[in-house]
Amino acid sequence: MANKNSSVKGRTRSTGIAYWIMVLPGYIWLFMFSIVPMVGIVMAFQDYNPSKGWFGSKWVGMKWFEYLLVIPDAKRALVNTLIIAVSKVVLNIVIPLVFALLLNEVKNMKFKKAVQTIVYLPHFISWVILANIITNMLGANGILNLIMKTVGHEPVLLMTMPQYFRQLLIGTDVWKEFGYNAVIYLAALTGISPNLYEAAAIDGASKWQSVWHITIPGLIPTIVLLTTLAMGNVLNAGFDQVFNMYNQLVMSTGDILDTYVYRVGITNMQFSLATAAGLFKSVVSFVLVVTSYVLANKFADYNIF
Amino acid sequence: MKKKIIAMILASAMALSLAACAGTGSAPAAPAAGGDAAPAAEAEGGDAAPAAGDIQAIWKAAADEADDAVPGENDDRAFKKFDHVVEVHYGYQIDPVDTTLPEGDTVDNNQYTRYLLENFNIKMVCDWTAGNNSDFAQKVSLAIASNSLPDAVIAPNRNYLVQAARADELADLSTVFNDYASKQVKQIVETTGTRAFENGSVDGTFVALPNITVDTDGVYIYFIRQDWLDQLGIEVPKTAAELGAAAKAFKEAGLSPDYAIAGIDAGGRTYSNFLNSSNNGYGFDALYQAFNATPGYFLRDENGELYWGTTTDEMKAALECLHQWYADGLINPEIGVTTNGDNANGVKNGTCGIFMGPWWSLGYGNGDSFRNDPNADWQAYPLYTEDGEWNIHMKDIGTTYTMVNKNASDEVKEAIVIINNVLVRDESIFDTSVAIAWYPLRNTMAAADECEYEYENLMSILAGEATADEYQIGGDKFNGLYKNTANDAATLRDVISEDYDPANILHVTDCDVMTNNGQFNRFYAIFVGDRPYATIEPNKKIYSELYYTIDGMETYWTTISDLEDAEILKFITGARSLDEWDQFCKDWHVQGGDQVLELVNEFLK
Repeated sequence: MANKNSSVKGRTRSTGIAYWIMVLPGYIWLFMFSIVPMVGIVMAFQDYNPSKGWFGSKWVGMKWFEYLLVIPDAKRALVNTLIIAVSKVVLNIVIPLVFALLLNEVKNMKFKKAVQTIVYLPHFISWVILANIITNMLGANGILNLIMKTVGHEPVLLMTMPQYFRQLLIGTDVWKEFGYNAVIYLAALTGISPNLYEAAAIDGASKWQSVWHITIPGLIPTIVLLTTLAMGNVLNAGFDQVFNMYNQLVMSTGDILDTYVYRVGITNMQFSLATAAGLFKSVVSFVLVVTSYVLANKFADYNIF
Repeated sequence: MKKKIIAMILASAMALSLAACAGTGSAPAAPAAGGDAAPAAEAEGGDAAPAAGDIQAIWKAAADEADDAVPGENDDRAFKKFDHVVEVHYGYQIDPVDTTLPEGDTVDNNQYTRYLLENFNIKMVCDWTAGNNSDFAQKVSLAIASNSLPDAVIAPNRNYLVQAARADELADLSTVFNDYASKQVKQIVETTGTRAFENGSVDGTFVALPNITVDTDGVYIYFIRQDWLDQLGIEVPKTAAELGAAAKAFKEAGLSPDYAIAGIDAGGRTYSNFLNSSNNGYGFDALYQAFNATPGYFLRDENGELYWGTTTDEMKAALECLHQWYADGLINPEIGVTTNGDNANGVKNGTCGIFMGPWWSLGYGNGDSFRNDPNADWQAYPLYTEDGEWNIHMKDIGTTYTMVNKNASDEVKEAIVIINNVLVRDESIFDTSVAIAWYPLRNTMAAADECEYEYENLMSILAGEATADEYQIGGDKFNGLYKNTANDAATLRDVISEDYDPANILHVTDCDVMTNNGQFNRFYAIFVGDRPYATIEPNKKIYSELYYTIDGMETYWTTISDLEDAEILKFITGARSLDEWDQFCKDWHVQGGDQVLELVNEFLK
């Protein structure tokens, strides 16, 4: 590694600038929309009043955080967020992986490309539209209940049943995203040298053995990378999805931190409480990203940065 | 090398995703701009005149104002035509399922906005719209938080007004309202005593045009298909039990294959509370009343103790009834889940025969129902308690407020007052087959008893005791306060058949639905929708002790109102058993209800 670097030192310097220029827009955006607004965190420690501003509002220390800990709604939102987000993170890694492995074995290229394109499409439908489609499909006069009626079953109103709402959120999200996520695995699969498979075949390895000993190890860096990046989202249960799909009846299992912050902060104008909740979420996410980075480095020997 | 590129790309991807993560945190940071501007402005206002903003101090009474120009005409004050085009930017709530707007017309280019442009040189520009109450409220709240209110916007309730006023984002309207409000508007304002001034003021400054609505907007009754009752030979239901039986009969007879009683959309409430004390269409307010429950109101018991209307035994009894109805499949199974007005579909397409709401729910509210079936004989009746009492809860004089941005020019402020004058004066000459809700910044002002006045006087015309001419301008019985009467009297016979005998109640078969559809909607609302309140004296009128939130209450209120909204609906659908009612009441009190009651009690002393 060190040798390699020094041997191309001259080139690195000049091309390095080009790369910096490439990432510059991203950093400007990051600075404008993430670093600058961080000043607003002070509101979490104030009794914020828009007319008094950050300098005039009263300081209240940890009051809002303490209050958050005693509000059942906030606790409920945290639990829901964890369940929904962790399930999504795990399933959004596992299912695309399995799908990519299966698709990789398909030899008919036309069929393979067709399937890949079709499962990829839902990724581009925004949740505003998709949520309405799902709500209508599962509604009293939706396709689900038309089928139920024809088979003589009582109508089932999934959107009113808290016990199924989380599964519904997770299922629809995985359905929407797995085709897109599988593309990354498919790309990694093409990066595995065919020589390895040929060698394994000559040594008499079965299909299953070559998947287990060649394909999976070849994919490990990608899996670790995606997992680590996903950890930052472990408290992101998907605001736009939940917000467009939930209703008061499924609040007990569907309300997540983001929707809670939205209702408290935007609907009810409790800016300080909402900021406190948002800050709490960010701190937990930050800890998780750092932890997973360290773990990836230690156990999988993989450096993301 | 390759690794390095990947690392770079990943680094920027990380940067992007971090930025995305922080998205929620950044939104509330916006109000800073509003905050900074505040102290300076306060100082200015303070120096100029100590009494600035106090509208009562400068009010010129309606009686001292010159008469207004007749409908359709200009004068040089309240109905002046600007010598150049004045643009007014506004945000507005629209009805996404409305079908009355002609093809090609838009929210800010329709017959009402064109009328304003042609006659007054006021050009309306709609900056943003929202399709339902909660979306609209959120947009207003965001606009306040980011100090980006358009020239004018309607505050959904007093909380938004107070928030915007305290953030110093609102213009002082006292002078411009006093100078430009029409005589008619002033008369209406004066019928409230000083209540309208107080409602429109925050901390002593008059910052909004208050909404002044008819009392009957908050009086809830139920609506039923009389033709179905007749067909099945059922007496008009008087109590909740009888109404439930009728609903069951509708369902069993196949008239209501899906459900017999319509409910609320997602984001709605099944009852109107102290903050939004009127106009709760498709709620179950009438039913709660029939159980002597007044949910969402601050009430006093016989010992003068303050208590909350929701956490009572009466409420539990009402919910038991509603849950039974739900379990029997009488209520829309998708109550609280449907969106964008789909909750009204059954009523409109003629498969649902019962719903509840205020007077305008018939005619204005369910116009499609009659257009689809001109024989759909909807009637309105009060729902009595088991003891035969009709106890109604009373609303605040108005719920909404027209707020004007502090940075709006004087001309824009004048235009906004004039827009309101025009609505009050000319609504009667508009063709309201295009829903009047498309009138920009419509924030109704009407005398509290306008509907009952019209009911009585129009009935006297139908009975031949008076003539329509007497109600025209210059006629013996003309009264400018009741702004629509002249036109209503003149158009009465467009809609109501000569064969109608005023001794009987009005049926849809006595009316011509389509010839003058706008007026049909209005007459049906008045003669049928408002008949209960116009003709029956309620046994009790129940007022809330308070109609707005007070300082210090917001945080608790956020929590407990959230709890209440979600749990009440669950009790109805059975997602939560009513055995847990006591636990709910306890939760409500512990999670902030007790603190709220204490604050309100202290405030009212």
